[in-house]
Parts: sequence; C-alpha cells; structure tokens
Amino acid sequence: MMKQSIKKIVELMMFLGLLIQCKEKSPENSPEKYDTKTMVTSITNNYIIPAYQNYKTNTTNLLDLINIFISNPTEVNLQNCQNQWKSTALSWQDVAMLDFGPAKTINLRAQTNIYPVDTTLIKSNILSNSYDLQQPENFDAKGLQTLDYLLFIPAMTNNQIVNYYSTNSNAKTYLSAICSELKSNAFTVFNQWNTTYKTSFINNIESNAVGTSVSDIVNALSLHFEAFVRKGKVGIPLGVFNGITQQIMPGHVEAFYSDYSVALALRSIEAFDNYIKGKTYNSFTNGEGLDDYLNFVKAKNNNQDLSIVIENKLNEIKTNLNALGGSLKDAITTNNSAVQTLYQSMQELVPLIKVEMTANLGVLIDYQDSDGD
Amino acid sequence: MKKVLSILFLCNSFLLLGQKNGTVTVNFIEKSTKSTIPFLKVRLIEEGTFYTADIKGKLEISNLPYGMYSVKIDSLLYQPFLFTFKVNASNQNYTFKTNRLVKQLKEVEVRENNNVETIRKMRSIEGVLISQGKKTEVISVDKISGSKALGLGRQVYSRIPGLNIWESDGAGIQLGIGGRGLSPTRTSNYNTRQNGYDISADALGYPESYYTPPTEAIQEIQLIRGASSLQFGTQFGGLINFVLKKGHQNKKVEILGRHTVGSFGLNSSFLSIGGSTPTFNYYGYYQYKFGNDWRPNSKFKVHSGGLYIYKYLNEKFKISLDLTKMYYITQQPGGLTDLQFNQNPLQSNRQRNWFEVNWNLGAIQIDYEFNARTRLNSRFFGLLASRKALGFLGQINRVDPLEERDLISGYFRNFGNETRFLNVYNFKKQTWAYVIGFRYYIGYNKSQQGWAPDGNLPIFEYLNPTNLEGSSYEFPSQNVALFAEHIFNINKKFSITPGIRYEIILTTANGTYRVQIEDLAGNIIFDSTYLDQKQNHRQFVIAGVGILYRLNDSIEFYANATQNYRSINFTDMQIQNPNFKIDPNLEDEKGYNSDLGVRGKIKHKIFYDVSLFALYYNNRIGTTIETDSILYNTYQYRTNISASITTGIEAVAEIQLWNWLTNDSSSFDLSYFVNASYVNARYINSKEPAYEGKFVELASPFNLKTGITAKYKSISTSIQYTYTQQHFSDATNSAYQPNAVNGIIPTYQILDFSLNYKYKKWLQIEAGINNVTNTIYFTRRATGYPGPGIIPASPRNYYLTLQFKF
Repeated sequence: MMKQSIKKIVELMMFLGLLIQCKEKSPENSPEKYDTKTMVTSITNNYIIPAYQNYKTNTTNLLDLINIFISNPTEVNLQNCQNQWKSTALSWQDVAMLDFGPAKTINLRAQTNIYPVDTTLIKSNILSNSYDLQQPENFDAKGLQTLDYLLFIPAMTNNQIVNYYSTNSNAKTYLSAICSELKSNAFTVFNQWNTTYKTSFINNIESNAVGTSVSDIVNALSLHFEAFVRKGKVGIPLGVFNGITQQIMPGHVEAFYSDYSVALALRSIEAFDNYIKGKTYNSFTNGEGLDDYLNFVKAKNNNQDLSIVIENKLNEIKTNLNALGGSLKDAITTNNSAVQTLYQSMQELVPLIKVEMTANLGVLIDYQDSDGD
Repeated sequence: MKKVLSILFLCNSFLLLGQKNGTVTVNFIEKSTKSTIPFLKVRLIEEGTFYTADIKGKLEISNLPYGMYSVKIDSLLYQPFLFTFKVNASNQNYTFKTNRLVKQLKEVEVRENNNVETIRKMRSIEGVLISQGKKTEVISVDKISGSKALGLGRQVYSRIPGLNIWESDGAGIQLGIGGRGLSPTRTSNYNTRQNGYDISADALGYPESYYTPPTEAIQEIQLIRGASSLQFGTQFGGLINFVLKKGHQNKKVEILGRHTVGSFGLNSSFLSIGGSTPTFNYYGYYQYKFGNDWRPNSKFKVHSGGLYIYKYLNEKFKISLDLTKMYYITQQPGGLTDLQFNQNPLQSNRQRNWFEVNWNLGAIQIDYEFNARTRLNSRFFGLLASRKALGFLGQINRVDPLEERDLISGYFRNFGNETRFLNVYNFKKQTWAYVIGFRYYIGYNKSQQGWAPDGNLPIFEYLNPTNLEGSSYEFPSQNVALFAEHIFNINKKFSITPGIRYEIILTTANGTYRVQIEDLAGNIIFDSTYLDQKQNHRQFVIAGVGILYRLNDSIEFYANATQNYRSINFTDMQIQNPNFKIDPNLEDEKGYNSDLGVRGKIKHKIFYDVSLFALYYNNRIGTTIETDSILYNTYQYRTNISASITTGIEAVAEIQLWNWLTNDSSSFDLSYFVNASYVNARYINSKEPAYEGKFVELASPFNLKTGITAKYKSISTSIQYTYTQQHFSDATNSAYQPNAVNGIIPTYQILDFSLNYKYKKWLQIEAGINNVTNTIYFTRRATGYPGPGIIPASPRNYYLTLQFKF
C-alpha cells in the first residue's frame, strides 16, 4: 500500500510538470464538427414554420366552421365541424413535439391537448357560463380533447347533438370560446416563429449545451415521445403505470369520444419520422435532419446506423398500430396482447432517442427531476 | 576638567613638596548579606578617577597626600553612597557598607511579532497542527476593511486568491466561497471548523455550512488548501478554521458593544463580554441582526450567541468549553429569469418562500502539555441542528400556482472526537516534529420532503407528517480515521513533510419515498410508498508530501502533492422515484491537490505568496441515463461519471507602501494589496458525453481583488476593487436557458469604500459604501433554493457602525 502511495505521488509530481494542458484534438466526426446551422435552418424553414402554419390554418378553419354551426345548427354543419376537428387534431400531431421557444413560453401543449377531459367541469362551466379558460384548473376542460367530447357527445347521435346545441346557447358560447383560444394560441406561436424567434433559433448553435437549439430539439422530441406518446397515448390507458394492479384505463385514451386515437397516434409517428429525417413539410423532400447529424457522427446501435434503427423502430410501431383494428380503446379490452406489443415497441424506441441519440450528439437530457435544496 | 584638576593637583603636589603621602585600603561590604562586593566600581571625587575593587571587594589607593577625601559608589547594582575618609597616616584601613539597588521597572509586555498585514502564512506548527510545506493563509479579522457586521465575503476574504464568492444575501448570513473552480455552495467544498472542530451539518455526508460564526466574533481565519486532507479529512478545497476571539488577556472584564445600521433597514447589534485571570479566560457574545435586504420578500432575523471559556487546572493542563447557538429565519425572494433581471433586478416573484435554520454546537477540549515540546489535544464536539426550506420550488418562468408548498427539512445530530499528539524532538542537529491523531465520528441526519400549507406564512409543518408526499430518510453514519504527519528538517533550509491518513467510512440510507403517478391531466392514477435501504462501507488510505526550502529570511519555496477525497453525500444515497438507481459500488470522489510556490516577507514591509496549483478531481458523482437491457426502460443512474483537471496561478501581495518608500510609519501609513488568480478547469474522461471537454462550472478564469488603505493617526480609509470574469454555471456550458437555471454568469466589477475612526480606546466609528458604482450584477444561478433562477446581488448600500469598548 505504501509503494502504491509513493508511486501515486511520483505520478503526481510528473503530472505537476504537465501544467500546460494538452487539449485532445477532437476527431473528425465529433458533434462539434458538424454544420448544425444548416440543419437547424433547414428544420426551421422546411418543417417547423410550415407545420405551424398548417396547424394555424386548421384552427382558423375550425373556428369558422364552428361559428357556422353555432349560427345554424344542422347535421351537415356538425359533420363539417367533426371532420375539421379531425383534420386539426391530425395537424396538431405534426407540431406537438416542438415544445420549445414560443410554444414553451405559452405552454402550448397544456393549453391545447390535455386529456382525459374533466366532463363534470365542462358541464359545470357550460351551466354557469362563467369560467376563465386561462386558469390551470380549466386545462382539462378546454382544447382539442374537450372539443372531442363536445362534438362527439357520448350516447348521442348527431341528430341529438344538434338538438342539444340548438337549445343551449351557453354550450355554443363554450364551443366558440375554446376554438377562439385554439386559434389565437396557434397564431401567437406561428407569428413569433415567423418573425423574431426564427433568427435567434437558427443562430443559437454555438454548441449543444443546455439551452441551445439542438439541445431544445432533441429534449423536446425525447420528452414528447416518452411522456405524451408512449405513456400518454398508450401506456396509461394500458394500465402500465398503475403499479401492481396494472388496471387498464381505456377511458384515458386520446380522442376517446371520436374513437380517433389510432389515427392520431399514426400521424404522430409519421410526424416523428418526417421530422427526424428533416423532410420538407409539404413536399416531403428529404433535407438535412437529425438522421444526417447521427450519420455524420457515425452513431451506431449494434453495428447498424442508429438513424436506420430509429427509422425501423418507427415503422415497427406503425405496423403495430395498424394491427389494432382501428380502435385503441376497444383493443385494450378485447385485443390486449396487441396493445402490449405496441407498447413494447414504443418502449424500445425511448432509449434510442433518450440515451443513444443524446449521447452521440453530446446533448444532456435536462427534463429529469433533480433534488430541490 | 579632569586634566585641569590633575595639573592643579600636580602643581599642588609640587608646591607642597615635602607633603606626606599615605596608602588607604578600603573594604566594601554589602549591609544585608554582610558579604564583600567584588569588582565594585567607585569614584574618588577629589581626583576624579575611577577605581575598581578586587575580587575580595578590596581597594588599595596609594600615594594619597594627607587630607580629606570622598569616594562615591558608581555601580548600577548598588546604592550610590558617598563615603568620606581622612588620610593622615602612611597606611590606613576603612570599611564602607552599602546595599543593593532594587529598582522597580515598569511592566513590560512581550508579545509575538505583531503583523501589520491583514494576511500571514501559518507557522509550521500551530497548536497541534502541522502546516509545513502547505499553502496556507491566515486572515487577521480586525485588520480587514469593510463592515464586520455585514461580513461580505469579498471583503473578509479579499487577500485569498482564487476564490469564487457567492453573494446571496447582504447581511453575511450564508457564506458561500469556493476555490480552484470548486462550487461555493454553502462552502461545502471546504472542511469548515471553528476552534478546530466541525461546524457543518455533517462533515462527510452533508458538508454544507449553514452556520458560520459572525465576523465580529472571529479573531482570525486559518485556511489551508488541499494539503490539509491528511490531518483533517474530506473536501478538495481544504480547511477553513475560524479561530474565535478570546477574553482580553490582561483585563478581568472587557465589554464591547457595537451597533450597525445600514441600507435596506439593516440593524445589527453585537455585545461581547470577555476577560481573564491568570488561569481562566472567558468570552461570550450575542448578536441580533435584522433587516429587509434590497428586494421585496426578503426579510431576515438572525440571533447568534456563544460562550467560550477555558481554564488551566494546572500549568500543563487546560480544559475549554465552547457553546454556540444560531437561529435565523429569512424570507426568500426567489430567482429571476435573464429577461426579468435585465428589466428590473430588484423585483421578486415569490412571496411564499421561507428558510429557517437552528444550529447548536458544543465542544469540550482538553490540552495537556507534557513539556514545551510535547502536547496532547483532545476535542469532543457535538451538533444538534435543523434546517427547513419552505416554498414553491417551481421554475421561475412559471407563475406560482399558490397551491400547497414544498417543505424540505433536515435534522442533524452528530458527535465526535479528535485527538492529536504532537512531539518536537532533536535528531542529530536538527529539530524534527510529528503529529499523530485519530478521529471518531457518529452522525445522524433525518431528511424529509413533503407538502406544507399554502398561503404566505412561515409555517414549517407538514400537512401529512405520517404519510409524506415526498420522502423520509434517515442517514446514520460512522467514521474512524487515523493520521500522521512528520516534519523532517534535513538541514536548516530544507525540509520534507510526508503524511498519511487511513479512513473508514460507513454511510447508510434508510427510508421511504412516495411515488404518485399522474395522467396527462394531473389526476393521480397511482400512489404508493417504497422502502429503500442502502449501505456503503469503504476504507482507504491517502497520502501526501510537502517540501519547504527556506532560501533566506525573505524567500521560501514550498511544494506539496496530496491526495484528497470528497465523501459520498447523503443526497447521493437517496432516491425519489423508482426510475432511479444508485451504483452499488458508488465511490467517494478522489483526486490530488498540488501546489508549487514561493512566499515570504521582505523586511516586514512586503508580504507575498505566488503559487501554481493543479487539482485532479476524479470520480465526480453525477447522473447518467441508462437502459435496462431486458425491459428497455430508461432510468437515471447515479454513479461516478467524470473527472476534471484544474490548473492555475494564485498570487497575493500586500505592501506597506509608505513604510517601504520612506522607512517611516509613525503617524501615516499607506498599504496596498493585490490578489489575482488564473484558473483553467476542464472535464476529462466523462461518461456523460455532454460534459466531455467542457469547462468546469463555477470556475472563473480570472479573478482580481486589489485595494489601498491609508491611515493617518486614528483615521483609516480603504478602497477595494473586485473583478470576476464571466464563467459558466453548468457542466454542459449552457449559455442561456429560459428558466435561467443554467447560463453564463457575466463578468462583474465592484468598488467598495470604507472608513474607520478610533477615538481614544473606547470609541470606534466605522462607515462605508459597498458597491460604490451601483453595479447591477449577480454571482450565482440556483437550481433549487434560494431560487431557482438568477439570484441578484446587492446594489449600492451604506453602513455605519458605532463601537464602544470598556
């Protein structure tokens, strides 16, 4: 033990002489050597802004159709609203994983898509006609999922729904208020992106440290998939997060009332795929994206390119979604093993992004809980 | 005159030719002892000549013409009597008696070399501490400029190079200093002690110093950099030992009263009584401080008090008793985002956050001096303390939802003993010395997290104390250590001091944590409490060696290399959710500290210390995200993940300018100091790729403090300039984050001015302006308390102190 200590001390003396640090030359394919500016510029201009624009257009159309329905409640107008709602909900999937910048500032995801909705609260809001949609307690009584409830009221045919609205002006007001808010939030976020935020975002690429654009992109992607797609859309309804009982909760799926969960989930996975590949939003031309960044740093998973592994996993998830038979809430009860398979494939994607993508790009996951004091 | 007299005499003798001469023999006797007085010096007045008696006190004078003569004693030791005698025969004998001259001298006080400077290095051996070959600094607190009531870190530690100093409150309540790129949070990278015993919450598992003694009660602050690990144990930064004041050495009672008023409603009263008898010394103080600080929602109230007595039971055996108590409650204004800080740094967006600390320390020390070269010291110390943090901890860019608040509470109950034996002995022609010692420590910490009532009031109680929403953990720990250091003086100039320490640590975590899973709407869908139990037992040896080369009185070279470690903290052993695992083989953080420097004092006028340092910090504990290979779920994994290397230069010099230029320090004095450091710290070998190669956080590359003090008779005035270069606050080197938790801490420069006037011995007036230029700056960002977010530092503020001493 003494010899070891002496050896260590001698080592240290030698090391003392090396006070001038040698900085290791970073290898050719290290994350710092990549042209992140081009990638971020491409993602911003080709995906983020067009996607928000599309979402904004959808919310505008939705409000217009809702207003038409309110002034003239007919089944045709209701169906138009229902279809436009589906279109809006689908377009939301394209932007849901962009929770940074203007979207994060106004907490867009919580303002737009919280579920399961509190039907008691919705009903009491409508009854009282006095509510402040800005208050956090109303987050699960507004947004796209509340519209799902209000446009696809359970145990009512479309005819009955039309009758309900014809005789309930508070309900009509509520519909309009929710859609107005969806539209104004969409406009706020789009406008900020399209004017001031775009430039600062594209230029915030000095490194991949916490707070930079690349860090934001990867963190938001990982968090959204882990918590809102895997856990929110599938895991919680499947009962995975219920401890020992593993009690299923099919009432917790997204778009429960319209039974549109699978379509939304599929769209979400497609959006991930396009986003990671850096595809242009409208024309789907392949541009500079995270997959190219991963290929540049030679990211591998079991000797395969990580970008390919991620792509294959996303395809696998899509396949498993398509095998559910069209209705997630029904599949949970009647075809539970198919949903388990789906969940398992989603779980396998999480470490590919949260652990491996981040490690290869030198990004730190900054959304985990840390100790308080 | 003599010549004239002799000529006259000669003339006289010529004229008196034929005059008869005689021989006289005189004996001198001391009256009281009746003994002879050998070699007594006398003066024969008529001749004007001096004679000295022989060894028997006998004096023979021959050829004296007949006549009358007088002889006077001319000696410092005997009374200057005048004796007259007659010469009227050829041979005569006389005996004269006198007495010793006893003179009462005025009392002379012999004191050690009193430094004029604020800073000195430690002596090779101080008490039972060996500091030879180490980088040391000692601050004389009564010489610092600036308010002692406020105790601002940048003023108290102005001569210590390389410190990153956090300023979170304007009243000196929480000390936050870190050196060499180590985090300043609650001074947790230093082994903090007072009068030699630990004062932090738990020396190993929770080294946060919520309590440090009030500056007004401190005599001196001793700092030893990393090389202190051999005698004192953990912490890479080294040792800080606050040596408290003692009772006045020459008075039975001395009362000191001080009152300070300052900006933002600051009031601080300090009263101390101290004194001594030859065998007994006592010192007691009480301080009460309250104020509002410079932002809304930041009221504070601090009570501190202490009693320190020691008694010599006999001339070898001294026993001392230390009792200290501190209680404070502060409201926390919360952090700010970068945008909020730039708009208005004086705002506060949290009205419900509070912090309460209760600290009780006791110690009994026994010092036994076998002789002047051998001594034994044993100290028993104990702590009973609590710390409670209440409030809304959410991100600062979110509005407080005004719901239930989080309450984090910690109770600490520790007891320990350290015993040291020091021996100085001769080997061949050199003086050698060694110290050996051991330490035994039992710690207990209880840590709880849960919900407390909503509202704004400081109610530190849990809503569900038996079923906490967060967690409840107990951390019993034990520690035993043996250490030894030996000074080998090879010759008068060169010495080598190796040392070794053997440490055994047992850290245990025992507790429960509650997991509540919510759906996306915030409804709780799962609620369960988990049990957790962990033990981590380890033992290791660390060693080090120091070298000292004294070129001459003004220059000495020193070098040392010492292993350091930082013990696993309690928080490292604690998990809050099931997606969290702790490496079962988690190791303490280990590394080396090394210094190479030159220091000295040139003619008592210039003090300097310039050194290079290198700090290798391995096994840094952190969290990575791992994947379970079977289930593919991810979990946070706490393990040793990176290493870092910090190198740099630390330099300090203090010059008595006036004295040096003019050699005169009678009534005017001008002194100048400069303290500069360069630090380069980087992560290497990190398992977390986001940290690899990045700059270590909180390591300011360049730090400068400089100042001038001018003194004329009883007035002295000082100006100090502080400069800290911008640095990162996290390991990924984040430049900006919307929640302001991580980001750059920008460069800041501050100017302080102070004035001191002494009137006679009993009145002293101190006044000053801190941050004269009203710089807007901040020194830290917080991840939790007192933020999260940016914690702004104080704008310009004034203080005025009146001190009475009796």
